[in-house]
Amino acid sequence: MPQPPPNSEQRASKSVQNRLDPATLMRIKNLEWRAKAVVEGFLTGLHRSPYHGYSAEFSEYRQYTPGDDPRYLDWRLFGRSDRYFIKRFEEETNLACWILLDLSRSMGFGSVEYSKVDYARTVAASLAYFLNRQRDAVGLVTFDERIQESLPARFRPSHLRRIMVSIERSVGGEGTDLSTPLEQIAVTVSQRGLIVLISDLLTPVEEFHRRLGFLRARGHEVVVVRILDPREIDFDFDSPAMFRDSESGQEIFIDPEDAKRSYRERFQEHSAAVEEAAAQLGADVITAVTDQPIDDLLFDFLASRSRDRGGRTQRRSQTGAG
Amino acid sequence: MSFLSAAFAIGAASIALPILFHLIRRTPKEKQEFSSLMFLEPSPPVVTRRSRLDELLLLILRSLTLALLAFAFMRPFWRGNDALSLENVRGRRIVILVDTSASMRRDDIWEQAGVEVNAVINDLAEADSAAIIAFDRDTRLVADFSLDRSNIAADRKRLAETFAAIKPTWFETKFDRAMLRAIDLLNDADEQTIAGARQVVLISDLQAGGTRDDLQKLEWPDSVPVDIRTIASVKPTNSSLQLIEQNPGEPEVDGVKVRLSNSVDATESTFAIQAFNDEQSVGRTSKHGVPAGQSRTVVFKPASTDFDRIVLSGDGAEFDNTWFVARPEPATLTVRYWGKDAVDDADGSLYYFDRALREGENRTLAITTAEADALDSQPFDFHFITHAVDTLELARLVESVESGTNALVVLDSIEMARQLPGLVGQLSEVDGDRSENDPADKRLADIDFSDPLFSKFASPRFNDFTDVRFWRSVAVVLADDSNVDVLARFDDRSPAIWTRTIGDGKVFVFASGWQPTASQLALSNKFVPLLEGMVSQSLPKSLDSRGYSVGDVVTIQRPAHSATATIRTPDGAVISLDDESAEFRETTMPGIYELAIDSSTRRFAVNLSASESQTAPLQASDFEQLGVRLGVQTAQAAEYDRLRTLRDQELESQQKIWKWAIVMALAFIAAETWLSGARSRLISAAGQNSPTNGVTP
Repeated sequence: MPQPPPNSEQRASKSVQNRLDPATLMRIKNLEWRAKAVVEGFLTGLHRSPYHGYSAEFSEYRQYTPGDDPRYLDWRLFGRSDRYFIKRFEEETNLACWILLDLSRSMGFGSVEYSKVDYARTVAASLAYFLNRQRDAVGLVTFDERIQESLPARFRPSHLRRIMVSIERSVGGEGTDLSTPLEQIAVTVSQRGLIVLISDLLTPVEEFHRRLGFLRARGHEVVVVRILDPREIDFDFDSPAMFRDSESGQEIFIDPEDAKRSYRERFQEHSAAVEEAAAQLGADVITAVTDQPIDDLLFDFLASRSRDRGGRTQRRSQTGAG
Repeated sequence: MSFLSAAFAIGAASIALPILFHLIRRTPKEKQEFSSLMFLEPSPPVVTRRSRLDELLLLILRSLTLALLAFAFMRPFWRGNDALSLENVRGRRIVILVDTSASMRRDDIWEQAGVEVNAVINDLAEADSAAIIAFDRDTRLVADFSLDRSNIAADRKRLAETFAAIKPTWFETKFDRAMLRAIDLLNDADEQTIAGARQVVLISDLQAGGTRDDLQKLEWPDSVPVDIRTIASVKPTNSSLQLIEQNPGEPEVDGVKVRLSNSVDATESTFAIQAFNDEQSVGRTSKHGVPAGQSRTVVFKPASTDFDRIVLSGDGAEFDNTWFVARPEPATLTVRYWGKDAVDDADGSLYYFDRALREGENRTLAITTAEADALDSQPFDFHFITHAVDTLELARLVESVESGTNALVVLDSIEMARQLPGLVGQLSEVDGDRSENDPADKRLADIDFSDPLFSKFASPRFNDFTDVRFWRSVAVVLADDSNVDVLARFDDRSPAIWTRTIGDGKVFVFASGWQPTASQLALSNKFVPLLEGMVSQSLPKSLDSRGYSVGDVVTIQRPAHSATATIRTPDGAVISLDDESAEFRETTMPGIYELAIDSSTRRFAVNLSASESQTAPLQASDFEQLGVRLGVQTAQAAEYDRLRTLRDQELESQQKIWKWAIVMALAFIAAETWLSGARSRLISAAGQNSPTNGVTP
């Protein structure tokens, strides 16, 4: 029987073995190298762990799901992993994927050595690298309150380079407006594919829900990678100060002692509402905290993809692997 | 240590404010960039748990600087042993001048004056003393300074009771006399060593008719301020009336002329006048309009001449609305004629003399040509001489003149002049007479209009005698005689009219006749007034038919043989006149007075002085312009405060402690500036190595 996605224990086990510390990772200045380090490290970890069930060739295989043709089971891989994998041919890997990268001012916050946007760039680059390695076509849209750059989904070596350059070049914007980029993508992208939205989602849930609905209505698969700073979650500040909204510039006096509890409650409410909205639309939300290794995010991403495919009709007919 | 401006200590309190604000920091200086405030609500300001004062030394320096500046502004000084005690400060000596003139009788002015007087009295402090002078045309010291300062309450009571007994009079107002009296009283008090700051309080309606010219004669002392408390009437309109006597030479009018005057601040302009006899009206009301500040002369025609007062109505003040009129009793002028003219001979002097004086005002004429012996048995009022008399007659005439009977001599010839030196005076040279045909006829020149005989002609309207020609005159040169007064000369410098005083009588001498054969005098309009002037000086002093003003002295001539003489005043009081008294001074109220001498009665009118009707109030500045210093003397306590303040200011200006405080403050500022700069450099050097939070991409 196919193995379930890696659980938290497995993830933790992997982190003990070879997880890459984000702070160390961020010291790699070249974004492409950084992404490569993440992905290669991630894949290497997959080989070592007896639990994860994936292999380096994973890009040519996929996990068996009920309903798959048993003729394409890879028995050698079964012998190694005790798990059922179906060989995937090249045609099956032509997934069009768009990465939507939020570069608004709110993404500029960071309480660790780097900001959310640095982390988000790394996540975007890592995903692009990973998907490209799987021979998926990758496109990119960077935005704040408007779209900054837009690259179509392509599978070419030079295209990956362009994506990396675009990710690295894009500067931080002003406010956040999810509606405009999501609406534009919903209009311009005709080919169904995978939409990966990388953002902190610090916007009203209603707007997010409506725009996400457009995408789902078009038949896209949506994965939301929510980038958060640890302090955005626990609001762990020490002293009273004038807190300034990085996007609106508004300042208010906050005594963290007094405000912490209500902040956490409201934040949790918002997060729950976001997940509720995403769940209603069949989208996954992966929360990535900036002090956590990006490998975890890739695991979650894959897990998310696995759940999606398990419950859906195959896009391509499966052909036997040679 | 003491301070001139202790209020600036508030500035020192400002030191605490920044510290307080630091502790209760509503807007802490720390700023924290955060991704979104959508999950946050503003926290209420609280005293921070970690409130602490940073940069203590800088804070101390800055606080000290502020404190020193505040200290300097407070103007500190040391009083030491130089203390001023209350005993060193004198109280006040106050003279309260209360106006009791007739204008103070208007509506409630006197009550208001009482309020002001009592206010001054109640304001007296323990160390103060006061005197009260009531004034109108005269001044009356009704309450002097008390020498006993031990009981101020008793003194206040004394003053209040004294004032309560005062009532306004009917006299006019003399501000200058009152204020000068006040100065004298204060100076007298100085001599009696009643020490104190001097003050005059003038309580009056300040009516414009009051005199104040004499104030210019005095340099008002700077140490005596005058506090003027003006009493105002609620009814400003005041109109008054005055009967106008006929002037000689003016055309006769049918009725009486009345001058109506309206006050400057009047709000009404239509008034009515009506004649009364005692309380009974005589005729109808006559209405007239008089604008504010103006006068009108109207002809008023009562139904009959039998009235003793004219009453005005329509204004707000009744005190001056009645003009009293007393018609003089008819008298008989007895004249002894010494001449040969027939009374109906138009060529003689007697003809014109008789006609000129026959119809006098309230007078009848009786001309007698009795023998000289009759002089002993029958007194005459006047001698009229047109011819020479013998020695005996001359002696009798001189004796009669000496006893007080006046005489008129009309020189008709040189012989007559030579025979009457005892009457006309010594003549050092006599010239011949001039004939009618002498082309060089004479006119009068060099007339003494100051003499009572010619005073009525003094006005430019009446003083022209050049149209009277004299062609028969006796040219004389009078010897130096102190009893002789030349009243008029001809244009050739020879005397035309002169008088010679002999004993109690006077002789009038005309150097020319007045009949047409001698001159044009009898035919001129000057003739009758001239003769009336002579006989009026010759008649017993009669009461002035024009009446008197309140306060005037009425001269009363009693016949030597009269037994009793009394005067009844308008309020019914009867005052007996002594045998010796020739002057009545009790004209204290307006009205009709009755003089009774034996069985005969004569009446005279006394009216209010016209100046009291000018009720528009003066301004205090009108007195200031005359040199009077206005102001209010401070009470002892206030004076003490003032002197102490002056002394403190003097001490502070000598010590100048504030300068040292400023120097120290500057030193602290310099130290703070240096220390602050050093600290800033230190902090900026340390700040370059600190990690960043909230860095925007």
